[in-house]
Amino acid sequence: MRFGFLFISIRDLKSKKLKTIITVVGIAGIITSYLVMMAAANTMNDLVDETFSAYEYRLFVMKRGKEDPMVSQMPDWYVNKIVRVVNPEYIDGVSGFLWWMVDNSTSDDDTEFLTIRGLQVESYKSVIEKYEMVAGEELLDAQKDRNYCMIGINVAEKYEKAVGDTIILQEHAFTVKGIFTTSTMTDSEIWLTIRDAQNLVGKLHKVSLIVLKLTDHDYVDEVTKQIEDNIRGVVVFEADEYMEANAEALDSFRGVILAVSMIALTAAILGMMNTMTMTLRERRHDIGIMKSVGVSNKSIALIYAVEAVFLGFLGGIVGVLLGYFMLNVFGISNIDLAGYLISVNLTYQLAFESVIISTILGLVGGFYPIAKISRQRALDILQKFG
Amino acid sequence: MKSISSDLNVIEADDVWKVYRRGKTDVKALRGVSFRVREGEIVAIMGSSGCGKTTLLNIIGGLDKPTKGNIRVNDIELSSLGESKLTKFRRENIGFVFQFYNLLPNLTALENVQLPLIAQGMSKKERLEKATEFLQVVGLSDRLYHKPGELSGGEQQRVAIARAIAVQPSIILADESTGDLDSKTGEEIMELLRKINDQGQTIIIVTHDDMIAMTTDRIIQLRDGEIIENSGS
Repeated sequence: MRFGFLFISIRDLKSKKLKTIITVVGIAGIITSYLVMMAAANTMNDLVDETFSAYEYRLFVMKRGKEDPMVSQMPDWYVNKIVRVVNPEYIDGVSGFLWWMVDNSTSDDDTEFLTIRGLQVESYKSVIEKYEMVAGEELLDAQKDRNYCMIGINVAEKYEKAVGDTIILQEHAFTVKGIFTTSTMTDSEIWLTIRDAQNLVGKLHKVSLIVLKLTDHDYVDEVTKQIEDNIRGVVVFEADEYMEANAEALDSFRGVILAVSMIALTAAILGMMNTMTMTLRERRHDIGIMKSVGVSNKSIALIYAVEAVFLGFLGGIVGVLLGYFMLNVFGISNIDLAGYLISVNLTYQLAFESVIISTILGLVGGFYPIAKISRQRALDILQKFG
Repeated sequence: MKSISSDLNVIEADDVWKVYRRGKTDVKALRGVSFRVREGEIVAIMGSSGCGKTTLLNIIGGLDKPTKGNIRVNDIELSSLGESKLTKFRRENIGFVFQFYNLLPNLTALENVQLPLIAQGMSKKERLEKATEFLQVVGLSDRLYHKPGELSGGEQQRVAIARAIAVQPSIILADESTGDLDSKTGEEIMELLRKINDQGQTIIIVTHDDMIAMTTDRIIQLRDGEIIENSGS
């Protein structure tokens, strides 16, 4: 194989500038969409992991058959019942929460959901640890803190709210008492006292999730048994178990994204194949000449493989830059996913992977047409008959 | 001075047949052609269009294989070689000069001449020197960095000749190499080929032109795929 021929690849690319640019832009577009989708999926994955890692050594109690805080509903007196039926030596804290998604849309075109969480203010701090106050104060008094709220940093930034401002939820005004951050999906939530939350969403005396913090992980089985034996219709999860179940759901989501990405990449390969077929058809005569003067099949394949790989590589680089600009400069990095504001992060690893994928895509797309023409006889290509 | 052609046969064709299948019809391009070419000879192959001249040249040059018969070039039996070995054979033994020059349009004259040298694995410095030298030989030292589109027909053919002789092959095959040129330029090209022949390289020229054929050592006349005359001019 002769690497001395590689200047021919560069000449070919330069001689067809418009075609080169169009091909690179085409690949770049696909790589950008791949990049953004994968970045969103990875960010979600990381956020869910972090969100649930905040609940290590916790038990979750939910309504049997509705094991999702958004749909599970139980009477709030279950919290007191749990305190009564579980050996107090086994638990450090118990608190009930009401999760709900509030439709805060201003019009059909501007749909917006906010995730609210009702807190039993006297006990929530015993089960939630991983949050920090950025400004203001926490909700601590069930009566005094009525009509007040704590908002996550994402909400504060999105709606430009500061401590003392008012936030309107379903025509009801709440004053921002504090702004918190957890560096997880929770940063997109609005926390109210449980009574305010129950009133707001019309779920009086209901909680959707009860969280228990154990004194020791060894008590999991015993506590689970004590709760399930004494309170009918509930199910107890370890936080880890619940994380796994969520991870599976997330895997399905990632699977869909991956499938869409694969379709996009397949389209890119077919596009590349078409480009290389057209290129080689145009260069057919050149290839015949090279073969006639003794240039080997491997060298000819190398010339055009380098061209295909270069197009893929350049498409990858441009795609990553485009993705970066879309996410960071044009500001689409904050995705509102059913009330959760996700800030999509483009990692160096994903950018590197995208360039590698794009380069491989160039090679795979170019492989068949290159292999086909490099195997043809010089004479068949030159089509000379006496 | 032209070197005396030796008694050594560089080309030996024995009962060479070439049959093409076109649809349901067999077209016999060559019908049992046999001849010898000695080292250092300059031979013209003549005949009307479609008589098999180019087919014969392609078989000698290893671009095509005979359907039947044997063809030995520089003691290599070509009919049994596979494609990659034929490519190697061309690289080491043959220089082609085509009617329409067949230069790569995106490359300069210097780069076009370097092509077979790269294929031979020559170093960059060496091939640059050699390509420059052969372009000087064909009188194009002031056209090194011109692309084919910037050169006249005669100049392009000179580049093609420089490319053909760059690897110093023992045989040069010229297919109607003056056919697309005016008579004065054609004569200049022939003069150049004769000079190359004077260095001892064997040259086979396919031509329609009697005047060109008259200047060669021997004329092989083809008609309907058969040799009807094989005589000194």
